[in-house]
Amino acid sequence: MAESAIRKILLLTIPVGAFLAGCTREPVSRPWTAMSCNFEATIHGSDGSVPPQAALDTIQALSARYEGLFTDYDPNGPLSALRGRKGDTVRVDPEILLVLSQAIAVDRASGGAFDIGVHDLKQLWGIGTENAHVPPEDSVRLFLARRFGFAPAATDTLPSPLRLLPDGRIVLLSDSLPIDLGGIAKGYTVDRLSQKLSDLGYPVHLVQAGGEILAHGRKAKGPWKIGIKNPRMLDSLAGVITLDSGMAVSTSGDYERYFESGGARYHHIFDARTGSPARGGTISVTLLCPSSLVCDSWSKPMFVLGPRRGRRLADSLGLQAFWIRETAAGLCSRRTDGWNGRLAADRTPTCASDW
Amino acid sequence: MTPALRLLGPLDIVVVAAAGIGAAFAWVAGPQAHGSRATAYVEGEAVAWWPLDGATGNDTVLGALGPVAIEHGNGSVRIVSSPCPNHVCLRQGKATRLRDQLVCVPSRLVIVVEDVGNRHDGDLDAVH
Repeated sequence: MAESAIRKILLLTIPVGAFLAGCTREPVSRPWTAMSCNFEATIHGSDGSVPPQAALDTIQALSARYEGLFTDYDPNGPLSALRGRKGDTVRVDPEILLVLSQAIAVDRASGGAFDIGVHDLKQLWGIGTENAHVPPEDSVRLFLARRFGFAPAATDTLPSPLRLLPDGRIVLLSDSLPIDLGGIAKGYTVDRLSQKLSDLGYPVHLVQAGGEILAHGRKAKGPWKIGIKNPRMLDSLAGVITLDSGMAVSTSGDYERYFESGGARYHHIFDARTGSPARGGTISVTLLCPSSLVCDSWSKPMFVLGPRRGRRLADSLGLQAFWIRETAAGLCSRRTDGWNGRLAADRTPTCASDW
Repeated sequence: MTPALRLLGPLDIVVVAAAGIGAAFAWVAGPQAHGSRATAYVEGEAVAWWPLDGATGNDTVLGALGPVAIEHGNGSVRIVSSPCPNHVCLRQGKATRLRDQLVCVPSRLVIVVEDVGNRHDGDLDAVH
């Protein structure tokens, strides 16, 4: 009797399970815009606590919430609390505090290559707008004097505009300085959207926001594959990266937002020491990291620092970096040593030396 | 032979094997790529799509700021006019490769090059 029952269960569950495995493989994707960039989420499997489209509705709404939380465009938004007088002590939303903590840590570790006080500098240059232009040198000098109190040299370690106190309060170190979390908030948001999808029962997914991508779970068809655009031929690839569960990848390049004037390209990744777009030779950097927050926060400083100064830092942090530069002979690249086959189809020759 | 298999008769094993083969066939012969198309999403909702294999055509999508003009066909799609203030989307040029995207943030518009049969049959999960 028992054997007969077990046999019936086996007969029912094996084919039904196999059939369902075949039927539920189709992933569901949705692209949308938030935080001034494109978002996209792809979920695999259909056994979540809500239907796939409802899960996508949830994270799309969540991205809109983070857009409101981290915006530096709204003069009355949550970040406006940080725009007080020098010496003021303020409290902010716990999630803003978490992101600020990471930003200040990266700022310090990179010697100021990641600066969250460049909002006014970006406005000055207008990159990404119809009013993009090279500003008068006096305007840039004025910004640097206001921001740092001195004219920084190329090797100076720059002071952060904020200091965190152990009790979570923040001391403002500059007067009325707008804080710009545009170089880190997207990464944090991607991490949170990924966590929300897992909470909703969709542990196999890919979340993207602009140049930030996080893969989670294992697809039936093998590892996640991410194409990295050739920075000078955007319809071709510079390489393909394979990701396992929990890996994030981030790319920052001078081709995303820029304008050209007098034969030079002026892009959106600033070096706060000069008050100008970084001109160290890097045109694109791709990082592989354990979270999107880490990737997003480090991609801009790694762009500014280049491989000569960035490699040791990347090694100490356990990050993998892939820098591309443009030479008279074409594009070439340098990379950290730990890619272990994850960077495939690399179509840029290795540069002769770091820069 | 495992205890579970000892419980099955020869006919049972045939039924289970047939189901397995059927599932495998469904897996392999499921939706396949049959050319590419461009799909326009506004606020995350698909509002229009165009095959990219045919001759060039033009269409308009209503974005958050007003109509956005699209040129599609001959294997590519591009934005040709937009009411957005900075026209960053116009400078993105043509999208041609599977998973390529055109983005107009002020219009809340994303155009994605997809596979007609199964947009995920392409080798890459994302391009950036």
